[in-house]
Amino acid sequence: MLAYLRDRDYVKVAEIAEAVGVGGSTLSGHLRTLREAELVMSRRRGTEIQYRVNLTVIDEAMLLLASFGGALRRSDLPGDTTTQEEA
Amino acid sequence: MISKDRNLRLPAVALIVAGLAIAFMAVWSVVHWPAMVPAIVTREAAGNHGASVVPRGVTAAAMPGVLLVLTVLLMAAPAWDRRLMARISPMSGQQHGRGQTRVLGASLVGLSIFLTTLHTGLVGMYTGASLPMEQLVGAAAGVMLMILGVYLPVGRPDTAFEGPRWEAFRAAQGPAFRIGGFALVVVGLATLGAALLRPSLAIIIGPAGVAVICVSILLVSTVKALRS
Repeated sequence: MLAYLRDRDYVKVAEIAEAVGVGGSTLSGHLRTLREAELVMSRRRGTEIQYRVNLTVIDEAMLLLASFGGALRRSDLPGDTTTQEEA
Repeated sequence: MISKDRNLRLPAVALIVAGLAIAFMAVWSVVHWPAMVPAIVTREAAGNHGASVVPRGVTAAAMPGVLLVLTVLLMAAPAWDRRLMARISPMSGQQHGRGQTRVLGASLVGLSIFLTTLHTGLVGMYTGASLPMEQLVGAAAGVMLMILGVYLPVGRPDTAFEGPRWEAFRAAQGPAFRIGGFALVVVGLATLGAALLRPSLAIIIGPAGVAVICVSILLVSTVKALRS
């Protein structure tokens, strides 16, 4: 979600839901947690709430490391599957 | 002075660091006072000007006083800014977020480190301690720039403007501040490295880097807003 918001300005909740494939109360919960941690900030435009990221350079570096970690884990997955199948 | 609105209050950590720095400088002055010569000449008389003499009392109180004044001004700045923006743009009342106060807090922490280092060096000039002033001040400036760079992305303007062009300008500043933050961290690291290896370079790298980053943020944001 943070990676999606990083390159965008204020984004509507509906657009975030569509992009990350999560909606409803789960998304609201995630966004509330991120807002409380000051990693995103929100504004109200009429009846809708829009969000954007609020990351320091250190937050971004940690996000980058996390995404590297995620990519590494994903690249490990086929090998793991094969091993399980072989076993 | 201390606002009830959390978005207008400097982070407590920044105020604690500034308070500790002021206390440390005051204690440093008191402890070294007996060893300080009554005055030093900072510039010899030459041509049409006389010698510049600085009494030890001025030096002992200068940096703690400067940091105290800066702390008070930075504490008041967010509220003043909000009042000023409310006059310029009625929509600015909609702005929220602690980005500005977090950046001001980071500035205060950076200034505390820088001024404490400077104070230690200046007092040393009166006591005869041969401290490597250029290295110390350059390194402190580098650290200050790195701290500022880390928090710069969250300091992007959040004021709601009227008109699509102004709104586009505000939106364009987000990416510009983000890249500017990374660049400022790199400039800070370069200043720190230069201060340790070749101090005369640190005096050029720091200010020049900051100037280039500030101008670039403004230019990139303006061009992006005009293109949108």
